[in-house]
Amino acid sequence: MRKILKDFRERVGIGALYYEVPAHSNSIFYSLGGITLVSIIILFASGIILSQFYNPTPEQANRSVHYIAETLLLGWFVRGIHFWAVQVVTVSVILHMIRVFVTASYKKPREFNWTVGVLLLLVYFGLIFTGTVLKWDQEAVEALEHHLWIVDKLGAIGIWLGEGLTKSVSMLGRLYALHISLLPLILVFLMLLHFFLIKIHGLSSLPRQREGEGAKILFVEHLKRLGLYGMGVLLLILLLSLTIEPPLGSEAVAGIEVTKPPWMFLWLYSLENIWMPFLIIAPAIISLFLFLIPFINRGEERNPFKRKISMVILIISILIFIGLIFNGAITSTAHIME
Amino acid sequence: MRLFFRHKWIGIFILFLAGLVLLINSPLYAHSNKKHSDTRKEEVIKAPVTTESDKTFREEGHVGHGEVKTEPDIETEVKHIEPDVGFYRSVSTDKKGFWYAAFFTGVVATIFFITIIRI
Repeated sequence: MRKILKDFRERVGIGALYYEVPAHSNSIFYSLGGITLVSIIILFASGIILSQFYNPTPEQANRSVHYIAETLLLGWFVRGIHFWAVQVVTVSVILHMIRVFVTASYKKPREFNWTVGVLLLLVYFGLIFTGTVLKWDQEAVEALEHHLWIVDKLGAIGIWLGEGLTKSVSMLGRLYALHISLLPLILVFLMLLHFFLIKIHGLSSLPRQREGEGAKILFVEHLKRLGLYGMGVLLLILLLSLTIEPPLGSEAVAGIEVTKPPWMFLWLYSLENIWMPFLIIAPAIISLFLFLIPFINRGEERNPFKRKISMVILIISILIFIGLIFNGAITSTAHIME
Repeated sequence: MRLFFRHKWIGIFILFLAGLVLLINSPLYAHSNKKHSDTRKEEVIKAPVTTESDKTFREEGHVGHGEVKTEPDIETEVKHIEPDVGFYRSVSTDKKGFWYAAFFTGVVATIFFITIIRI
C-alpha cells in the first residue's frame, strides 16, 4: 500500500507542492483569494446541478426556476447554495481587493496581476448580471431592459450583445449561453493566469517587510488551512441556504420598472436615478481607475500608514459606495428610459 | 466556556448560530414569512399585452425594447412581488429534502469542528 501511495505521489508530482511560502499566507486576510476560489468551486458545482433542471426559453424559464425552488427534491437547497455562494464570493472578492490595495501588493512586479484581478472582477459581475436575468421574473426582465438600453447607446460596439444581432435566438437564450459557457471559460482562464503570476512572483511580503523576508511555511500547510477556511465558508453557505430562501418573483410584466437590482448593483441604481447615462459612464470610469492604479501609484512605499493619500481615497470610495447602496435600498425608481 | 475562548472560530460560529436561531424564531421573521405567503396567494398579475408590437415581442420571447415607463400604461394592478422566504416554507413543502439538507449541513459542521479542535 505504501509503495502504491509512494508511486502515485511520484507519478502525479505531489512533491512539487512542497515549496515554501510566507507564513502570513495562512492569515485570513491573505487567504481571501483562496476563500473566493473555494466559493467559486461551490458556484460551479451547484450551477451544473441547476442547469440540469433549468429551461432557458422565455416561455418556460420562470416556471422551471419555480419548479426547482418549489417541487424538485432539494432544488430549493441547491438554488440557495448557488445564490448564497454568489453573496460570499462578492464579499470576499471586494475584501480581497481592499487587502491588496491596503498592503500595496499591486506594486512592482505585480502590476499585471492586479490588472488580471480587475478583469476577473468585471467577468464576475458579468456572471452575476446574466445569472440575475435567468430567473426571468420581474427583476430579471428589468435587468435585461437596462442591458438593452446600454447596448443601444453603445451603438456599433454593443451590437453583438443586443437584439439586433439575431432574431433566431431570444436574448434569454444568448445570455444563458454566456452565463454557462463563455464567461465561466474566461473566468477560469483568468484565474489560472492569476495563480500562475502569483507562483512566478510569489505572495507579496507584509508591508513592513522586504520581499522574501519573514517566516516560511510549506505550501501544503497553506492548502490545509485553505481547506479549513473553505469548509467554514461551505458551512456558512449551507446554513444560509437552509434558512433564508433567495428571491424569486412570478413571470414578468414588460414595460414597467417596479423592482430593484441585487445589493451589489444598488450603487449603480442610485446613480442611474440621478442621471441615466451614469449606467454606462460610472462602470467605465471605475474600471479605468482600477486598471490604472498600479501605473499611477508607482512609489516603492507599501506601508499603509505612510501612504495617507491612498488610504484617504480608499476610505472615501468605500463610504461613497456604502452611501449609494444605502440610498438605492431606501429610494424608488425616479427615471424614464429613453 | 473554555472551548469558546480557546477557539475563536468556534466562538464566532456559536454566536452566528445563536443569531440565526434567534432570527428564524423571532416574531418579525415569522410575521414576514406569513405576510409574504399571504401576498403570494392574493397576487394577480396580468401582463399588459396591449399593442401588436408588445404581443409580437412576447410571442417571440423578446422583451426590453428600450422603452420603460415609470407607470404601467393600462389599468393593471402590479404589486411588487416579494418572494416566499426561508425555513418555514422549506419545511412545509419539501419535508424530506429539508431533513436531508439539514443532515448534510450537520455532517459538514461536525467535520469542520473536529478539524478546528484538532488544530
